[in-house]
Amino acid sequence: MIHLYAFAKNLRSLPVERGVEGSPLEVCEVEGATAVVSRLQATPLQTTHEALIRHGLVVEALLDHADSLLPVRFGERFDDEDGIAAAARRLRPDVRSRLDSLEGCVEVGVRVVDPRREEPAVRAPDGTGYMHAELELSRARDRMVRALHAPLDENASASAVGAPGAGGVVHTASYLVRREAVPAFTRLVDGYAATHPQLTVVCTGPWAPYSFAGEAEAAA
Amino acid sequence: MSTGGGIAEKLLSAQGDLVAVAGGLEQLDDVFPRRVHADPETVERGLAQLVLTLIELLRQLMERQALRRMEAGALDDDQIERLGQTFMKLAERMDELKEEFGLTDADLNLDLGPLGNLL
Repeated sequence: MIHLYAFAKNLRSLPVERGVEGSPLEVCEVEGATAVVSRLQATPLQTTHEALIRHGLVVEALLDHADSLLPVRFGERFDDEDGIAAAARRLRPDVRSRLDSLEGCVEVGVRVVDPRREEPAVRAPDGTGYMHAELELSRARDRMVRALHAPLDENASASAVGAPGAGGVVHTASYLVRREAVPAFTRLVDGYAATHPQLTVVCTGPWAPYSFAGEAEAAA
Repeated sequence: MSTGGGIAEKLLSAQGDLVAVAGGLEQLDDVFPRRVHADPETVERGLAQLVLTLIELLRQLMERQALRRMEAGALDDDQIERLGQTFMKLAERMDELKEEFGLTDADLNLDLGPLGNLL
């Protein structure tokens, strides 16, 4: 059973990381792209913490070893190289063009939490007051998020914004940023955080561009 | 397997209550499909969590839709008042039910894998 981690462009060398179940990493050329794989015992897919983390560590380690990386979601396994080639061939133009478009780019994650969003629901004397208060809250959150997202989006090649979630999360997004532009991008986040001290603002990266590799996952 | 060093290296910038943000990392079980806990002692809470999650999803969707219509001027004063009363009472009742079953807002969510969280 072959476990697939990522497609790479101009892979210079393999990282020292071991693959899932301690398996050594290998490369196989499929349809003009380099697939990074490892061979496992032919057992049913075991979705364990260790396997998930190991897969992620391999992908992150590969980030520094290639000009471009198309990560593949955990769980793509094939019987042999032909299976990988067949999967890649289905969307070969996408895989190759994706690798080209992602060249020199990394993913940066930004998450903003507003502790006030966890406060009890709006209290109002009547229904009209409640609706107006909720509308104003919604507008204020939109303004707050736009003030952060707009400049970040301008300085990114692409962005993927998630829906606000539980736990007071008002903004969660991934940005595709050129590697050399990450420090300037981070300064933008710092500048926003400094003017919004009431918020928790976290910026992480550089990550492999998982959020911008959709076609590769479909191909695999 | 420790990944602590790696995570720290990935922190480009941070301000505020990082414990709240990192809280999710302690619940790595969330990456696996959720199940209703069917133990006799916990089945009631598990089912309540599932039902309340769906109710909360519907409540949020309806409220957002109502706010959009209100913003667009598509609701008259009576409709705004009636909708506001309904959402206000629903929010209050949800708070009571969450307290009754010992649930928090964070419990009323489902990990939909590649699609993200439900709420």
